[in-house]
Amino acid sequence: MSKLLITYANSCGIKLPKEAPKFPTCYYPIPNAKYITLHIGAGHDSRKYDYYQEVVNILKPILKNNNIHIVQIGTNDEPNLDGVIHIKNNLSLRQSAFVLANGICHIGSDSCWTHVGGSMNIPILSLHCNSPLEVSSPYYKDKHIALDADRGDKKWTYSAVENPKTINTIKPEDIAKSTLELLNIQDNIRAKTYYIGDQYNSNQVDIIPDYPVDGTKFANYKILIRGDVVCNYNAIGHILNYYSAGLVLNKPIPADILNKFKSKIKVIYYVIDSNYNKDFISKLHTSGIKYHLLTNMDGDELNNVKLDLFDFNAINKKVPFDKSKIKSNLLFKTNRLFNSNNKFYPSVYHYTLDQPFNGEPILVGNAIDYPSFLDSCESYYFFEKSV
Amino acid sequence: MKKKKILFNSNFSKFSTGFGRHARAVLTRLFKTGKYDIIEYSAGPLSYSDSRCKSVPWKCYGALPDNQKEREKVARNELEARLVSYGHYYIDKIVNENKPDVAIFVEDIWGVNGYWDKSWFNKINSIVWTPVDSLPVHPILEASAGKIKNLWVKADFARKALHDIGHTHVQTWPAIIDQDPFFPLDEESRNHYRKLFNLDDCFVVGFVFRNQLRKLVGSLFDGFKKFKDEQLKINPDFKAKILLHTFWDEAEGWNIPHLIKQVGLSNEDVVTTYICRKCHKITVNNYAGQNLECKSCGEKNSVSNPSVDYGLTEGELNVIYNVMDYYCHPMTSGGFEIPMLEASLAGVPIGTCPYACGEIYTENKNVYSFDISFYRERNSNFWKSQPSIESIANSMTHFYEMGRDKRKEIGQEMRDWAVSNFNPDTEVKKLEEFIDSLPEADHDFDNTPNPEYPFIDIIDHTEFLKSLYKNILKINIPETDEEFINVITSIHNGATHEFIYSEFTKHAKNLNDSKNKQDFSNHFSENGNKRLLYVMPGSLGDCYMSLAVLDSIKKTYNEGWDIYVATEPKYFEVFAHLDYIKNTIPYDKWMDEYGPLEGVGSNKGFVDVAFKPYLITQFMLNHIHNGLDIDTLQTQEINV
Repeated sequence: MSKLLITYANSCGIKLPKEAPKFPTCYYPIPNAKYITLHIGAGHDSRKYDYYQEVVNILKPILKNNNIHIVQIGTNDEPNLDGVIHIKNNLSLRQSAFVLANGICHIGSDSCWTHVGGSMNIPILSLHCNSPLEVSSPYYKDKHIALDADRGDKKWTYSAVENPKTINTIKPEDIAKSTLELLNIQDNIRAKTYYIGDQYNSNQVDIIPDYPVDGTKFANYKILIRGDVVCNYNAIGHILNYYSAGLVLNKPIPADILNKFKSKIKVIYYVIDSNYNKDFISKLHTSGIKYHLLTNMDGDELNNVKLDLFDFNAINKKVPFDKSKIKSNLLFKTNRLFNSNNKFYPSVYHYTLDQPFNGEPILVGNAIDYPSFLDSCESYYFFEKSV
Repeated sequence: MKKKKILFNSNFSKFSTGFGRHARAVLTRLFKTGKYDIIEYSAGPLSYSDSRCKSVPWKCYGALPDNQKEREKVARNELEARLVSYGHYYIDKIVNENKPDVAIFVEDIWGVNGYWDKSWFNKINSIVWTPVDSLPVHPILEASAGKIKNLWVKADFARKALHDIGHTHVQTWPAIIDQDPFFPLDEESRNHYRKLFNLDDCFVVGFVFRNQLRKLVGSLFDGFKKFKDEQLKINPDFKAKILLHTFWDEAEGWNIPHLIKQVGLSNEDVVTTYICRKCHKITVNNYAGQNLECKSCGEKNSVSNPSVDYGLTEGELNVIYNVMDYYCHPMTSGGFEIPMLEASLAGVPIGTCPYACGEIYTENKNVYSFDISFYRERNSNFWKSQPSIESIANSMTHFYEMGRDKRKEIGQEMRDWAVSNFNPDTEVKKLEEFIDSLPEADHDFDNTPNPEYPFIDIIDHTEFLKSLYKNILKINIPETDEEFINVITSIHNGATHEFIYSEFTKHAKNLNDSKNKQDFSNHFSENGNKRLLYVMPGSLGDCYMSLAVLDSIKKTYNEGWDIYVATEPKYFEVFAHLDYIKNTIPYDKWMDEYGPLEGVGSNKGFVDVAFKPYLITQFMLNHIHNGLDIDTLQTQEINV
């Protein structure tokens, strides 16, 4: 924005005013207390930070002690964070500006409210990723901290879509610390992020089909039926009666289940080894059900299977999680749970040991050596124990 | 024993195009021998690292740039986009990195245009296996045939034509497809499908084709109309239909509904294949557009004609052939026309034009050969065939009147002929033997002239001269070459070996200097300083005015910065007196883009700052303002 504004001015041959332009505001009811504003949206997907909820989780207790609320502004299509006040119900731009103007700090990416907030002399914490800070940070500002993504030795992509998103390399605790710095709040944030899996935000339940499932419980979740863990045809059919779901299999299921639940099966992941069933794959191929073939095989063994299955979908090698990314003494939390017989587990490993999830962070421990744990590590948030 | 590396450049072997199926038939068989490391380089829509490349059991790369911005840039120029999609963007990288022993290019000749001039082409046993669809021979093929040692065409008429113009090394190697999926169904199954498709009481004339102008759909309709009208006079209950297996709505193809109307057929006379993308249900119906609702699974917008990206399996296509009574393929020209081979394998009698690849089929006595006339195609001047309506109608009468039993008998003879003449196992075995007989490849692709090569005198003038060409200029030149003859003559006329040697080393140095200038990074000093590039392509006036800007730039970017200027070479002298300009670089159009100079993502670029003030004065005029704008940044008054 700095460079953009300067470029606009240069192009018109004028000097920019020292005073920021006023953004018009319009009254909107606001909390009768101090608050900071948070805007999670951005024009580019690459500028949308995925871990604001973690930031809120860290900040909320500290801000509460200081009688400060967190207000989420933005548009209705932006997801609601937990633990914050939402003021984004079809507000006009002027109303949003009013909410922003009355806050004591603003957190956001390189988006409009960051620049407007800067011009209102509100302390601003801005996150940057796909273009240089010098170009994208606010031109008019008072107190300002800009956090930049870790791109390694790469240059800015200037891209509206990044995969992986570099903005996610900014750690939640760094955002929280910088916010407190802007607010002049002294607090020792102990959270230390170690690794966040790229599917951490997926709101998924893996149902192990070993019992008759509750027909309403998982209505708001993405469901994956784990026929590769337990393959009970009746239970699979029962679940599909209630829910549309993905299905993981490592052996064929009867054609009548496929036909009956064709419209409810979103996708089938067929994990194949040397005993794969070609007839079943052929049925899948012409069934109209979306399917993926996955395998742990490699080398000549995999190549021979690719040749045999040349007419069907690509066989994707399952990429094992690199366990050097984590350590056994880390804690982890997860949004993905494995459901069996009315109990929830954090992984298939914990299901096997019947160690249900109690909502608290879990020590990695011995699980680090088991594929049944590592397979779901991209769904976890690993962090170091508080000192 | 070390496996030979084979680079195979054609359509992706998993695509159902003719080239793709040819690639599949060849590559799967070569792979199964276990003797070769295969590298597939797929022309078409795959990007270099496309995930689909991992679905084949050999190494595979796509042709399009991985970088989205680069793809968008390429797409802006139609010609460049086409060449990139054929594989020109990555071919050098793939050859240099993989060092194949054999490279097989199965493509239209213009798709591989210029490969024969690459330094690696003749060092790695390159084979160009190309279809020729018309006469005379395409100018690119005619000009390049002498440079391609292993040049194969898919049909014999093309080989004969190339031999006639002196390229007697050209061979015929037919297209290869897997034959297993194509066979005659038993009568019960055939009748089942004909009933399923509501064709059980009709004489079915089929045509499987991509809707291109060279496939004569209108002539097929004309012939069918005549045939049907004649038969109705004899038998008022006569029923016949045309079955078109094609995507009707190709942008540059025939407007088939219009042709139906124009010829005077009714919509009910013509049926076509449909497939649901959701449930894969295949139906045969009258044409009703694309993206229809599926009556089987209820999915909206899912039913369309089969297309290149979603179609029938080969086994399902075999069913389509089997419901036909006669396969009719009128065309202006063609390179091989695989559907005629498939119809033959499915035991369906066929008829076509005795021109171009049609000759492959019409040489068989069972194939109905249309009466044709020729015309020259506008622009290309190629000869094209036009079958007579009369003979197309007669072919239908011929096969209709002979009855089902006779058609079956002819169909079986057609199948036997196709199986024995185009057996993929036999053909690939021949290819395997050919590959094994090829000499070892030379992987030294560095043809950079060597001006440092020492003077080694050889008494024989010819041998001496050949040695200079080979070791200094890195060229294997024939003694009959005009340049060679000129130099040898000068030696005979008194030029000493020492003089000739010094001329060669001088020339080699010049060649290297000019090549280095083409390598953009060589324009910059590696001294640790930051780089600022001021780009101003022209004009003279703009370059002159730039002197003032550069003066200020120099004052602003002094310590630790090197300043470069890019402009048209004719304006270099405008900047020559500025001793703070590190180098003046020839301007090129790609510098207009924002990415390549300063870098994007993993591309580090060449400079830290690139100023391009001409963009808003020469490309997107943003400085005119009727002369009324007031500038407050500059202190000097503007006096007009």
